[in-house]
Amino acid sequence: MKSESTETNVQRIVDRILDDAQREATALVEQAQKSAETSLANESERARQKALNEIRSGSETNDDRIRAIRETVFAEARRKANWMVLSEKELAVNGVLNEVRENLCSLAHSKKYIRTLGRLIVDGGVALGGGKLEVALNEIDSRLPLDLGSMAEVVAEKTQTESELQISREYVKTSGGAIIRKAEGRILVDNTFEAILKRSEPHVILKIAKVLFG
Amino acid sequence: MFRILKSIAEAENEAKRMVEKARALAEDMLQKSKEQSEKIYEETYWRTVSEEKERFKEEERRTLEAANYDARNILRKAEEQVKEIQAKAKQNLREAVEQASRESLQ
Repeated sequence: MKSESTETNVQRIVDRILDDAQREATALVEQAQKSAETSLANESERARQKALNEIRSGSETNDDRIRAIRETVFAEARRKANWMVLSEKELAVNGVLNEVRENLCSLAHSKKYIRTLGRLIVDGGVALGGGKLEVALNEIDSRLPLDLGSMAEVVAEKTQTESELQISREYVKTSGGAIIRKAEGRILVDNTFEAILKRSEPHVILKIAKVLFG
Repeated sequence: MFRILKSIAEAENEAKRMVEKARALAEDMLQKSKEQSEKIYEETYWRTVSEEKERFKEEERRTLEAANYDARNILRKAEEQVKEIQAKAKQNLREAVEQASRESLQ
């Protein structure tokens, strides 16, 4: 009976020694495992931070690139949009200018034309300060019954200079109007329809745009 | 008595072996983790760089998509303006021709 009890006690001591050793061994392995995992996780995080820091130091360039993409697309769209609007306006204004040219051509065939031509000749004569003047017309207009005497009187009255108008033997290539020049000299006033339209084009275009588009 | 002491001594020896074995295993694990750490560092570094590059590419793609969408809106508005211009030009053509003709002969 005593011998059995002693054996049991010894067995307990042996078991305890082995249990303690097992626990110590398990703890050692677990600690090593944890330490290894922590070390790898730390190393991984260190690498991630280094990569992020490097990328972030270049992120200003990335932001610039993103901004540049946006601005390039917008600038191109705005340029195209402006071009669309302006070309349409230009087209409309040119349409009106063409009609004005056609109107002037038709005017040359109307009853009002002689009066208009007379006014253009007088205006030119006045602008030249009167005197001895030559009036160059196109071939058709040179056959019109123009009262050059009355026109010269008006010029003389407005310029306070004795004036004389005579038709030039040279024809002008024009749809209407006249070129008025000093008989002795090179000074002239071009009052042909084409020249008038060209001179008035800048302000006429503004007028057209105002009327067309408000 | 001798048997008892022997049993205990054997148990202690066995315990010592167990702990030694565990210690060796632990050292081995730590050594392997040290060896792995450089590889892990490199892998994580390049993976992060690659992920960030991808993220940036995606941001670029989304920016471009959004900008194109806005650009289409700008062009749509321009098309509407063009239609308005055409309508106004048609409506005011006569008056513009008359005024311009008058103006140019003045």
